[in-house]
Amino acid sequence: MAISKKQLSIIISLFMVFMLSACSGGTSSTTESSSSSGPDTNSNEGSSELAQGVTDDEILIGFLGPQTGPIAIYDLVRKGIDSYFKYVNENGGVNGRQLKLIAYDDQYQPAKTVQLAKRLVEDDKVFAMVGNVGTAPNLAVKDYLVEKGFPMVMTGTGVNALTNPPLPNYMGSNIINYSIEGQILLHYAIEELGAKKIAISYQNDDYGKENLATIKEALEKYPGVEIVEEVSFIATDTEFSSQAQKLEKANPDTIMHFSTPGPAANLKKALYRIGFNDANFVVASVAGGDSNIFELAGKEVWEGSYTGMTIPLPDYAKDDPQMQVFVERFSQDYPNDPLVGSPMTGWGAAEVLVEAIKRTGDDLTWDNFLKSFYTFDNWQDSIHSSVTFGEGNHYGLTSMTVTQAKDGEILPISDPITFDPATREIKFQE
Amino acid sequence: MQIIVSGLIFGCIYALAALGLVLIFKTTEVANFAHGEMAMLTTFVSYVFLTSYGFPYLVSLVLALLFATIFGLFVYFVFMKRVQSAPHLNQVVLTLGLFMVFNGVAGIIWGYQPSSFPEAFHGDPYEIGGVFISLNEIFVVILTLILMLGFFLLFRFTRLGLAMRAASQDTMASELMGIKVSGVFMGAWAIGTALGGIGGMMTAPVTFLSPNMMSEVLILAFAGAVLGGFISLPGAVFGGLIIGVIENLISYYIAPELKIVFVFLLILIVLYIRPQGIFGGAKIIKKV
Amino acid sequence: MKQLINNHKPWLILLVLFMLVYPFIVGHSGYMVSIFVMICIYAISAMSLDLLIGYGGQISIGHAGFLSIGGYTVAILTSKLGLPFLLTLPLAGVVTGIIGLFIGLPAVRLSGHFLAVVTLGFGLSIPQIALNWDSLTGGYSGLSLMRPSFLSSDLQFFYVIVVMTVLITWLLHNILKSRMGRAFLAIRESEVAAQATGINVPFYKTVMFVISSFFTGLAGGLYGYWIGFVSPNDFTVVTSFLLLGMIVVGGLASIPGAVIGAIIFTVLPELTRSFVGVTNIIIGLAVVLIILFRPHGLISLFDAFKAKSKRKAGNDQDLLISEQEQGGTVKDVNI
Repeated sequence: MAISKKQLSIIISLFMVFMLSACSGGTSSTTESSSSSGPDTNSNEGSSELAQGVTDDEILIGFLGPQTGPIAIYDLVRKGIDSYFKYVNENGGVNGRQLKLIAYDDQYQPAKTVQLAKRLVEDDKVFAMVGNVGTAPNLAVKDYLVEKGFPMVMTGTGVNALTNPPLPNYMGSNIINYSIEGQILLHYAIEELGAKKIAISYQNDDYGKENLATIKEALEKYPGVEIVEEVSFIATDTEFSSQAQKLEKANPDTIMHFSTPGPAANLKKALYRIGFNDANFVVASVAGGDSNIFELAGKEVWEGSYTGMTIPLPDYAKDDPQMQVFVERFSQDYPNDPLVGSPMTGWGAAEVLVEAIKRTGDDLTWDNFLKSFYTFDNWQDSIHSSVTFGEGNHYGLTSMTVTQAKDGEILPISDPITFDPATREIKFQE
Repeated sequence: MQIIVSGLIFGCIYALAALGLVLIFKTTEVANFAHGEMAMLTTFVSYVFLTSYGFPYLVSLVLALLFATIFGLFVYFVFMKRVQSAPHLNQVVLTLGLFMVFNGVAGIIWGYQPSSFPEAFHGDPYEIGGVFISLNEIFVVILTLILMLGFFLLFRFTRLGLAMRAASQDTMASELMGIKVSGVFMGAWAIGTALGGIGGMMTAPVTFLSPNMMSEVLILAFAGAVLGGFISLPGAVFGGLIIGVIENLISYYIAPELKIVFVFLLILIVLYIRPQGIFGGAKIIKKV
Repeated sequence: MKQLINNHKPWLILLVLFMLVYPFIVGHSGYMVSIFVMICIYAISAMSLDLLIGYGGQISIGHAGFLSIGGYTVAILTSKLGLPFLLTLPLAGVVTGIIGLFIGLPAVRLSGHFLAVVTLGFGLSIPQIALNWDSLTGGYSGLSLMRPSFLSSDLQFFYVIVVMTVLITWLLHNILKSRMGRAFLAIRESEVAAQATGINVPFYKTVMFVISSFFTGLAGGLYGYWIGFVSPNDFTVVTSFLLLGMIVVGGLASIPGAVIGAIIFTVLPELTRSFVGVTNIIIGLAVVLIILFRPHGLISLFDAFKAKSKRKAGNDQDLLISEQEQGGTVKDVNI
């Protein structure tokens, strides 16, 4: 019995020690944030006072994404946002207010995301969140944020669950909606490349599966085109000879591939190895839209692959002033990090956020802020080729440019192709 | 056929990673979970030699292995020596801690963007009887076999090998018999880390170079080593090869996503029938 | 002073009081409350794992798999079958316990690193199965579940979790003090000797796994209800490693040790938020340092303190026993 007493008392004293420290930390953080956000924090939707996180000279913005762990590469999104915020702040801020980014490391673990989302919303009292990374983490906090009506701008996942059907507080995704991308690529493959026998290779996760479903559904619109083979793999796979064998056997004229860069490069390598290079290789933007793919797969191997992009590569948009600013600024802030890829999605998301704040004007409440998105109609003053919102369109990004790999470069080969959310049809821009 | 051959080649990569693991375990009885991350660091170092200094492949390899040797000694002296007689679980958790530190440090220094790593030999694949195989892959297979045989013979027939085996069986008795146990342990850590480094440099062209490149490989290497009995070098290679082939067969005939489930199911069945692993020898119950 | 430490009643009352007012102390901060909840969930899991490893000497590096199963069980039962909370939560434990039985059966024959690999495989497989069994688990998009209306507010559910944690701690404490607990210890020290004294080793080994997975499953169920969403990303092999870290850093074979571990591993990442990209390094370093300098875990700090005050009281006999049971080294867990 002596032992039990001992153990219990130890537990207890420990709990006490920890709790005291924890709550001292907690109170300090709340006081800190309330002092920084001043008397305006208690406002809510509908009231004419300013929303939480907004003071006369500052707007607090939150961001959640992994900074360490297996998927830490997406920390580049944060760097993109951070870089743009710095740029805006140095040029006088938005409507006279400085932007302040509060970013936490959720390590891509939904439990942590939920915890930290509460921290951002309730303790730090940020005004909005921008560009949050990942499907599972975003889905885990969805119910909580919808209930709060908390503005989420350009979340970092293209799943339908966040944008289709539209949710009142979710505005856009900084990766084009997966099913839109699938439809645009499919349309291009059939109309422009004359695909008849399509094979699909997909990463077995949210990204791949949603694309697979989309393509199967969309194919009903194209009689005479069939799926001859489906192969799948997981994101961490490195051995693709079995998939390559299956694809070769099915002998498709077009392979549509949906994955992150690693598997895309390895599958193409495996195909190249067994000499199966005839089929058009159409790859999703996540993998093909980054010139790092030439590094990974090799120039000759990747030659001729098609992909779609929402943000042009810096090299082909040299005349675009927004792109010039991005290239100059980001390479100054983060000289050791790659330019293409995640930093661009972060920067682009931040541009949309800032533009929306600008358009909302001085009466910055959540309601007004969310409404301001509906004024985006083919807005082109960002590094995105175009951004559009509407009552029935919370996608934000709906158009892509198809590109092809030639001699180690990703060259645009089409005009922007746009998906119309109202009619659910695909249009080539004239 | 191609599937089996590719599986064997990939199995060699698991085997290479497993060799160092088994070598360290066989001698020091420490299951080193940080092995993969140490290999990853070595590979990054060789990459720095290759790109920043522009050394040729072979020179970079040698320099990187030199680094690995020193790194192995460093880990041994700073961390592992102090816990050599601690409970095994402490050692395991310590290596898990090192795993996190090394991974994080590499992430801070080199970032998480994957980059490509050159193969030892370039060249288009040859077609032999409907099977495609490249020069580099042949090299990997031969390298694995040479290393395995070399260390197997070293353990079996040399004085050093005898000392290593003795040290792992009974540290104190070996010490009394005049074996410098700490020297043997130093050697095991140095060589084991260098072996891991070779494994890393063979893995990097396939998985691409990034701080997380070894995690998947190491888990399967660990599984392969255990399948082979965990104290047998040929067993480790054999286990790695089996896993490589099975993985590929499952991913072709059943479902690629479920391969890890089936691989471990297989291991479970094998171990249920033979709890000491395929090459584990007779089961000895100690500590009565 | 001695009385104050050894007499647990005032401390217990203080602790319960503290837990009750905690949400008010932190000003209803959802963030602080959810940290506390995660500590509770990890504490339950760590204690269950400790029962297996620290007391029973059986290694498991796949415990996150049990957490996942618990979470999915409540999610599936609630969203697909509409079962009430009071039924689903115990079922989460029961289902996980049954799975634990299947994992425990091979454990009867295996030990050390062989068992480690089997459990590792289990931990790796569960997320993959969850990902692929779309019809049941919702695949990658996970499953949402609603809390029952009488527990809909976070505050109410906070108290449920606190009560459950205290209850489970008490239960585990009693199990370990029972005949069964002593059988576990005997198996840990020497299977052969345990067998010789008439302990049914295979039976108790399996029971260990069942009990451990049962409570871990409950923790998983609580997690599912707390977050309201389960997905294959929730508990990966990394979680299993962290649980292992918790019990070793806190101190093996000690309930307070497991709790300390859970607190450290949950709170430490929160404190490093202001520095980018160092979370893992800090946790890793903490683990390394504690193992190097406090091989018996942080709990040994308290033991040392205890030993001093006890020696003053001349109560050496008691001290000997307690040291053996608390910080005693675990010999048979060899990976």
